[in-house]
Amino acid sequence: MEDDRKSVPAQGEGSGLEFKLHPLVIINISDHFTRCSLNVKENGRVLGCLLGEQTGRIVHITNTFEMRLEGENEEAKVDRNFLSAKKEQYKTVFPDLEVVGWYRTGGEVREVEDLRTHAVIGEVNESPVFLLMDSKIKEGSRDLPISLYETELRVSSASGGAPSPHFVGAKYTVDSLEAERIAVDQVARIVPSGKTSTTDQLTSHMTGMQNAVKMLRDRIAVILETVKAMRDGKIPTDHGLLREVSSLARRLPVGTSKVDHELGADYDDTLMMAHLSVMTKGNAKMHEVINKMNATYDSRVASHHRRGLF
Amino acid sequence: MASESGPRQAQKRWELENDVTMEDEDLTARLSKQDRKLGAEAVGGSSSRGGAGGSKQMASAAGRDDFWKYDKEAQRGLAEQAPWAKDPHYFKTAYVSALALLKMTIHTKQGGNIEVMGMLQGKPVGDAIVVLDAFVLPVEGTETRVNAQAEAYEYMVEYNQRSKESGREENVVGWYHSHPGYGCWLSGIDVNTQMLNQEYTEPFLAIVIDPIRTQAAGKVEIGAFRTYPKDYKAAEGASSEGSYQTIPLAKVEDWGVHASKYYSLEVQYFKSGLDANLFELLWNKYWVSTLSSSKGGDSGGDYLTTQMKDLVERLEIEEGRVHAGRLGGWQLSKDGRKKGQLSKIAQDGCKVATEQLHSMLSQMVKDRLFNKGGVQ
Ligand SMILES: [Zn+2]
Repeated sequence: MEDDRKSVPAQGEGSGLEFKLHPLVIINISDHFTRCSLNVKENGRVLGCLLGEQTGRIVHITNTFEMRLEGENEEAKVDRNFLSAKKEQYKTVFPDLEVVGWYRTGGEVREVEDLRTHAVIGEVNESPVFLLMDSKIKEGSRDLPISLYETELRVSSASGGAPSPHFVGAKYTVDSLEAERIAVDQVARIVPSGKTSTTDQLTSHMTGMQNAVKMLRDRIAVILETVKAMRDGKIPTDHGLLREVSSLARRLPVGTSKVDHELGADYDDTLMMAHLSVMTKGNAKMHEVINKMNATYDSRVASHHRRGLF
Repeated sequence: MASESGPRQAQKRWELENDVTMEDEDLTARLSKQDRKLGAEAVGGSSSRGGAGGSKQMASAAGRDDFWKYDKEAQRGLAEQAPWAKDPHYFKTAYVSALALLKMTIHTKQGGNIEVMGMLQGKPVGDAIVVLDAFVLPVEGTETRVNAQAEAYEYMVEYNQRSKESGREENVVGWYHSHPGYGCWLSGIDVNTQMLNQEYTEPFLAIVIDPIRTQAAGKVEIGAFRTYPKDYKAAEGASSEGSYQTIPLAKVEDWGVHASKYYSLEVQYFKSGLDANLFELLWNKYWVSTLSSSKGGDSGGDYLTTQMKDLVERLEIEEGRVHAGRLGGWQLSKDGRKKGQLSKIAQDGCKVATEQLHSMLSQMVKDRLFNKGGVQ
């Protein structure tokens, strides 16, 4: 998706890796930040390790843990013992996860300081990634306040001609597993938990659908406007874009007759289930009434008969 | 004034180091306001979403940041008083953070059909247990082994120690484990584990998550429980015996025998102000999944079939019973415990049907959008 990519000023060649960020990472960092902002301590910098899995060129960043600093304010360094102990702990329960980088909250990269931390993580992973999250979210912003950086060796005058590492922006997309989606959906919308009436469930289900459809409509409106503007010559014609729009439009309708048929079958099944459940409900009620009738009848005629009405 | 400069200075330095500015007044006002509201309102509220570009709430009003503040003194005082020791029904609510919910959901899902477990970190607040975070324990198949928790004891202590070193003051306040496909309740073994913990490591909470039903229903199936003391006799309807549960036939006995030994707490979720903003932004990327994923996925069909089979089996048993009742005198049906069976089956049936109707509804909407359009 177009807008999942984030453009950063210093776009470099990078390592060609593709980063997939999972929601747990974002919420973990948010938790770390909130905790630190409310329980201020010495060396309470919001700093941690990113864990993930790499398959081919794709890196899934799925988890994090906090790092600790040792030493005085300016000279504070990552506590290596703590780091390796934490790493082992996560290895025990998530054997597939490796350290893939580190994170920090703040507005912008502080080259010198961050490169120092980067080097420490570099001892564990040869090409770590650095995630910077801005805890101040701009009003009206639609993008996550998160940037990813890799390092690149570059020759600069400051280092006297020798190549030295520099941060360059890296692209990322947000990815999630089904379980993550359900949980995020649940907390993002704060769906009432547990004992909800069926009406509430239906409402929340429908609201979710409605919002998604609205979003879809908005996106389509944007495309439509662009195409219209191009037609009227207000903006230059972008043939590549038009081709994409055309292929998107041509994909409709998506369903083949087979899909249609299956949907029909599913539909019938669902109706049947609804029918059966209502029947069962009716039966249960009937059963209750009969029992009550029997009980009343029996108590009235108990002296005469020992038999129920039905 | 002088006494205040200490923490204020620390705060200032922290802000500098982390490149943020917190408006002091804003923060304190937020905190004190929330303190007053504590427990009074449902966390986060059920505010409807603004949706695309609509009335977006970027304010942190929905956050419960106060839960993250750890007051050592207050917690120690509370632990000494131990008000929960006097009332077996003391804790009524479990507040679960977005983070903990996310972690537990992912972990229990990864476990698949195997029961997995982990611990909860948090603190007691009023008559609620606040769960801020959770961590995974290296044990599996917890349902068949007595005290699986003990196996991971060393890991747990070590983990907790490291947590404290990195500024997490919260203690372990409970445990969670998964019941894949058979609902959220406490088995005999669970009851024993929980009782033991409530005896020695109060306050303690038990959370059960069903990852399979979570996937099928599209919402997290979760339950929070506490056991009664051994010799305690719960009042009618107070224990989870009277509560409504869908339990497979194979597990019904285990459930029935122990259901009077514990009660369930109301589960509420909370998030911080920053969480709320981030979730809002995340949803901008997520809305697609609402339209693209078919609820239940691959295992959806299987799950549905098992549920239907279970219902049919239960109906057959019930039918047999009613028959026997009619032939051998109706007295049998007077047996109080068995009386509600049929209506229970009907209730379960309705639940399955409702879930199915919901997912059908989504399918129809998608069908309209992507297949039947273009007629205008
Ligand atoms: Zn269990």
